[in-house]
Amino acid sequence: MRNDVRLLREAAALSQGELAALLGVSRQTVNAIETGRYNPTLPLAIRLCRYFGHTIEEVFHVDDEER
Amino acid sequence: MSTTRSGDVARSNAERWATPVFGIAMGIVFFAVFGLRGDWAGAVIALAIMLAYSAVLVVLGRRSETVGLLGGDSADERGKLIQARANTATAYVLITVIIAAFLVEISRGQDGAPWSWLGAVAGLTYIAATAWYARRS
Repeated sequence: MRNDVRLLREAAALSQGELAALLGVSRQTVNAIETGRYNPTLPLAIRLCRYFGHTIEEVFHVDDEER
Repeated sequence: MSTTRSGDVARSNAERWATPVFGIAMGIVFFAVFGLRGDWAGAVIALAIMLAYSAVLVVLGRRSETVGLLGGDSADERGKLIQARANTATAYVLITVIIAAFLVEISRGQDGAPWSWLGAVAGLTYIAATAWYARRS
């Protein structure tokens, strides 16, 4: 699953560590989400999307959508 | 809100120190058991290993995510997932070893103990855990 977390974070001028602190997770977890190695649970995904003022569909993209 | 945050910090600190303290405690137990057998060299080595392991967890726990997770620091959902997967991998290896050892023992004409008992405990635990989580998930 692809996502726009890195784009949104950089647009907000936040470091991975700062976003991690805001979300209550580790910096490595933010990095893993951005690189697609880890798909967050629904509560964390909602928290993340709400912080940036977007819906989940706007931030996370199922790979099928590319077809 | 601040109470919750301070509670989280206290729990996180408790998690961070739980494994090193447990390691030190086990080192003392090993030291006592080896000592009771009169094997003081083994006692000192076992204690030193556990103290060194605990020290690594404390010193490097904040710098390395892997060491932090080994030390019981599961601050977020991904850490818990990593630990659950590591536990599963460990269980697979252990049950494989137990079954292999059981087969070797019975092929030698032995009764298979204690491997048969360990396998039984593992099997029953798996059945009980599956039933437990099936009802609660």
